[in-house]
Amino acid sequence: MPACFPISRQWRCVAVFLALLFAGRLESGVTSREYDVKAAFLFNFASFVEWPPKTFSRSDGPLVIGVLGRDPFGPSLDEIVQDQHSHDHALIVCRFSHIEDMPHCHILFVCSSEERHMTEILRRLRGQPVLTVGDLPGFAAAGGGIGFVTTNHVGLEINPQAIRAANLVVSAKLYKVARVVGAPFDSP
Amino acid sequence: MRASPATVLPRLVGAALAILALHPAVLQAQDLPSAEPTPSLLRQLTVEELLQLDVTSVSRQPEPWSNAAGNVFLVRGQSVWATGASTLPDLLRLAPNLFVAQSNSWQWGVSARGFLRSDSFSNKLLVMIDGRTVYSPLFSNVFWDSTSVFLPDLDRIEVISGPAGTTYGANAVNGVINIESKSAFDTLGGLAFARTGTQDSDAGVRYGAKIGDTGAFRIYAQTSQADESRSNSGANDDFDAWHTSQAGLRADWGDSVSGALMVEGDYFTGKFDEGSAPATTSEESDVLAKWTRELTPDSSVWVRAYYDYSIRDSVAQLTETTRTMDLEFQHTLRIDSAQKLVWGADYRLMQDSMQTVGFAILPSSLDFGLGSIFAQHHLKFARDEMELTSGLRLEHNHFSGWEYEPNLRLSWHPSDQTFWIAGSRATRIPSRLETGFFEPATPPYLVVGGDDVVAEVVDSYEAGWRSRPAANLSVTTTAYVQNYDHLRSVEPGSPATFGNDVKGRSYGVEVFLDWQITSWWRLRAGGFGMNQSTWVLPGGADIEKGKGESSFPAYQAQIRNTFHLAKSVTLWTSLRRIAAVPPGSAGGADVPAYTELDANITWTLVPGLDVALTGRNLLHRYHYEIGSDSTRRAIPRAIEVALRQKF
Repeated sequence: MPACFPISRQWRCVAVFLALLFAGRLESGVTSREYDVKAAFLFNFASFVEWPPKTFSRSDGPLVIGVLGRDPFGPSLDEIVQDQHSHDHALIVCRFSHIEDMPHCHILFVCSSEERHMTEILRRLRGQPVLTVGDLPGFAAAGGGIGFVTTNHVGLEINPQAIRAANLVVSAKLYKVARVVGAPFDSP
Repeated sequence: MRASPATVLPRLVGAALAILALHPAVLQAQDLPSAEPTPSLLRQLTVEELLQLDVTSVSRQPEPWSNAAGNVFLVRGQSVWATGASTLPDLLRLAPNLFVAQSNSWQWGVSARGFLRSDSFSNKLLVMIDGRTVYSPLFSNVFWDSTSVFLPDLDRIEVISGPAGTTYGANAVNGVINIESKSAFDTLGGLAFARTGTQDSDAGVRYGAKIGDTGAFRIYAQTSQADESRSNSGANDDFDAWHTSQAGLRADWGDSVSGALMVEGDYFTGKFDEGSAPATTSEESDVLAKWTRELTPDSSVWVRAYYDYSIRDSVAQLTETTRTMDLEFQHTLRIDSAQKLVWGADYRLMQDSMQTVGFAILPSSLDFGLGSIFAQHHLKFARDEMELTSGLRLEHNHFSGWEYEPNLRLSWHPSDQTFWIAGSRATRIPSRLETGFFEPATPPYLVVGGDDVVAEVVDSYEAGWRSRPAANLSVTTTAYVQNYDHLRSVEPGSPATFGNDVKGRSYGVEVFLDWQITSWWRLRAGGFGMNQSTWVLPGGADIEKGKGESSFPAYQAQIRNTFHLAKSVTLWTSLRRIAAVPPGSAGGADVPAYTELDANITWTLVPGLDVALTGRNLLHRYHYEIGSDSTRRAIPRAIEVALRQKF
């Protein structure tokens, strides 16, 4: 584990993970299909993005998917990433409610409960090697990496400048299926 | 983690198989591989596939198990290609709780829990396509020859055995078949198929595209034709060949949270030979719209309206024109975490006109309505392990006035199991024929319509158990007793007339088993055993002696296998055994019990291009399925080859 991932947070992650697994079991079947699909997208992104090698503790260190705010996924995200690997990295999910508590994440899903803090969150993460994902309206245009746009289907918006600023390389395949939007952050 | 497109389809199918067998949330009996995205299945999808998924149509539906307290069997759209089905009745054979009997080249009898006539008419099973009823109010029957959808765009068929009048209204006495087509968002792009073989051939094409950012549409056209069956004297008498053509469209806009609109329309025309008599012809057009909207996160509403125009000319003796207008709405309200209320109203107006030769249907044109209101309450208790469902529909029809259809169900869901008991009542309302049939065309009449026919009523009691004894095995068992009152009778006399002097009782069990034996082999088995008795009331009379609807087998058993032979090759087999079918009131010998085998092999040549080889009724050159001694016809073996191209 990397130094930036202190032990107390690890335990907190595990505890939260277990709690959610348990909670998820109690209410399984109640989560909406929309978030099942969004969880599957998060899982997919792991294999479409290249992170700088230094973001992993070891060459086979875990790839962390963070969920910031009130978790809308229920058990589905955990079920989807359970026992899964992207290249050599095991996928793990970590949840927290304040950006200050954020452990090192590779992918960060910003929940819609963070609407009021969205700008601040994106500003804090600017330049860090984190793929930010959200479903707040205009998330990608506001400087997020990838935004979900939900109608009957879940669509994608991608912000190439935000991705570049984070030193990430995203597969051309993703650009093909997503709508490309601009990023105000690159302008001074 | 990613795979090349060439491996996507087999992987999807494989994943679906594995997940369906293992996932505890799947409570309903499932047939072929499902794309119903459980989280673990979603993991297998590519980004392109994820983008195609409709996320709203299912997300607001009730939790899976609230529906599951009854015998519901789902036939998935994927089964169409996987089994080589070319007609809806072919596909309905997959439902172990249904009896499907092919009467001749274009007539089928389909019923659940008994009560089928030897001429294949079944008046106690309601059939709907996207919510539009296709049950004939004139005959009290579903004409399967003219009940057709573009099968590649089928989403699913829900087969409910047992009464469902509270939810579906009149005529859902022994069951409901609910045929649902895919959203236009799920059928983007082109698809063409063609099939030919020893017995029938068909071809069709569909194209779908987006409308702006929030809408999608598709259009389709198809044509089918089939050769005749063989007469019971062994002659190939050119009796019952047929052909049909059909075209239609569907468009969807928006989402169910802020408002979703679905509009669809179809045109169908068919010609069905009847020996030396003039052919029966059928023409049908319909347009339907459904608006769904979420009012609050806990409350949603839909409104559906349709118009249907049909003309059926039966051997130039009866030309029936019917216009149907229907308006229905339903409101679902989640009261709290334990309670849900669904209520709604439906009004249907039918206008018909009849031209007859040799008899009369009086009045020769009639406007008649069918209106109802219903409410159903769901209550979960005992840590959500139990659910009590209670509902009532009040319905008014032109012929028998007010009817009521209540339903009470209690289910218990300990882990990986469901037990349920239920009591329900449903009615079949009198048909136009029973009330207005006069023969000959002018007085003095030998037969007159029944002045005071009333609705047929069933009171049903059932108990069921669905369990998962192992991770890769699920079993569903249902037992029922159904008591029937006021069954139709034809009372002799001068003139003869229609009445309700027959009573009946049926009891039986329905079983379905789904077993993923290995990653490449899935076995499903199912069937029913039942007993039906009907008798004429003391003091009553029926020229059929109460045996008019007794052409139903005492048991049916089927075993189906799906083998994934290679990445792109799948073999499906279905072996069925059907007990002897009584000849009904016509008398004579039973249709003998028979065993038949269907098989289908599908092969993906390149991504987007598939070929299938289908064999139907492989064990015998000819066999009989239903009919009286003198008129029954032999159904031939058929071999077909089909191509499907996506573009």
